[in-house]
This record gives sequence, C-alpha cells and structure tokens, in this order.
Amino acid sequence: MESVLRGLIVYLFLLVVFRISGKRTLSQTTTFDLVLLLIISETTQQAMVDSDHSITNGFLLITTLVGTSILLGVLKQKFPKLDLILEGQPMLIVNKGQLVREVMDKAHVDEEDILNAARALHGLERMSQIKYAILERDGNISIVPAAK
Amino acid sequence: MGEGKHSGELELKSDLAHERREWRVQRVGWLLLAIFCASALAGLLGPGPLSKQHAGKVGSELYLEYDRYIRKQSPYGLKVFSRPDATRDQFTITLNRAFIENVEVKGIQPEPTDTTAAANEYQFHFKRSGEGEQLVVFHFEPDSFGRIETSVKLDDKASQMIKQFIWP
Repeated sequence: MESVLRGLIVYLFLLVVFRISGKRTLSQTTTFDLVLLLIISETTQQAMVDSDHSITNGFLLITTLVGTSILLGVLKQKFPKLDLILEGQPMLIVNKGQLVREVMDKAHVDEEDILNAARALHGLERMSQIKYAILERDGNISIVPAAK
Repeated sequence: MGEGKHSGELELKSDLAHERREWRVQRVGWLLLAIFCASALAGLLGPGPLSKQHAGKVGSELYLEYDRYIRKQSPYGLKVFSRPDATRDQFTITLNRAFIENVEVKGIQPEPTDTTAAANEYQFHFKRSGEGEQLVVFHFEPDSFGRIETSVKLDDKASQMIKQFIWP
C-alpha cells in the first residue's frame, strides 16, 4: 500500500510544483534544463523507491504513475474545468500585431522569445510580420504571420 | 474550457479573467514553496538550528543532545552525556522499547559491553572510562513517522524524556 501512496504523493507534488512554476519553466529545454530534469528524476526516484528495490515495487510504482495519468486524462475529458485547472489555456501574446504586455510580463515572455519563435517557425524577420503569437499550454510559442 | 473567448478571426479559447486568477494562485504557490524551503533551512523539517534540543543541564548526571525534527530513514544521532556512579566500573543506559521499535539502531559509540531486553525497555551496558563525564552516541535511522517519545535512563539514578517528530 505504501508504494501506491508514495507514487500518488510524488505524482501530485510534481504536478503542483510544475503547474505553479509556470508554462515556460521547462518548455524549451536548454542544456541546464536537461541537467535539472535529470537531477529531479533522480531525486524523485529515490523518494518513490525508498529502500524497496524489488521488481514488485517497481511494477507497482509504474502502474500507479501510468494509472494516475490515465485517470486524470479521462477526468480532464469529462470535466473541462479540471482540464483548464490542470493544463491551463493558450494565451494571446501578440494580438493583431500588438504586444499584449500584461500576459507577456506574467508569463515571463519577452519580445526576443516571440521573434525567436517567428524566425524558427516561419523565417520571419520583424515583429510587424507577426499577426498573432500564442503562448500555448505546453509553454511553446506559436506564430500566425501577417498576410503579405 | 470555461467561457471561450475568440479573438477576431483567430479561433482561440482563452479567458483572461481565468488567467489572472491563475497568476494569483501561482504567486501564492511560489510563496508556499519559499516557506517550505525556509522551514527546511531553519530546521523545522529536519536537523537545523531550530531542531537542536537538549534535555537536562550541562554537567548534570544525565544530559542529552538530539534533534527535535528528524526524517524517516535519515541518519541522526542521540548524544548521551552521563556522570555515572564513580564507585562502579560499569553503567547502564536504558531506552524504552517503543523507541527501539520505531528506529533502526545503526551503531553505538562506544560499543556496549552487553545489551539486554526487559519487558518495556532495552538496556545498554557500558564500561566506564576514567573519571567524570561519559559520552555515548546512538546512531539511529527512523523506520516509521509521526511523534515519538523516548525515555532515557542512566542506571537507576536519572532519567530524561525526549519528544521528537519524524517526517515521512
């Protein structure tokens, strides 16, 4: 029973921590983010596995994590409000060529991030070529170019 | 997904009011994370400045140093400073059985000459080395969590009670 509880507690803790850390936290994995992810996974593994290295415990933890993920997926589909709370929503950061400063400031996105996405996705050169930019739920920025 | 709000010809369900509420919750979350870290630094979630405790008076027959907040399966030490009877070359430190059942004894310094189990307590017998104060350190690892009360006795002449909280 303790293995299942451990798995559940760690899953929920990580869910809350990454939710409150903001959309952009690990959306674009830099070299350091990758190291951070590895450290987090190692720490998480120790907290979950404890001193029980049996195959049964490993299977139990995997089942608990995957099961919780499936359950939340089903619940999110049934209850859109829960989906909104757990996953957030896409937000406009450029609306008809105008920067939406309030959203950008709170989500820690600057003009350079938008231009970066515009260059990478559409080969755009200037802000004036962007009609819409959206901060997606996964933290990535998608770009709708202005008509030529 | 709440009340969908479309922006011009762009079909995007996005609610700024909800996002503002989310930002507020996020800021509170940051504050809670900071409090969590600060508590750990202060010693409320394990060994640290606020966790250090002692029982008895320095130089008395039985004086204990320990951590008030400890964590499950983390090593910690209980220091027992004692002044046993000078006429005997042995002394006994007794711990209650409930304590022993909740922790795993990893080591005792110096090694006891003998260990005996009575109904509700464990007795550790040591050889006295020289005159004056004797120091015995018990190294433990808790294997349960919650509140724990331990009575520590020196022979039949002094006893102290310590209260600890074991975090999961």
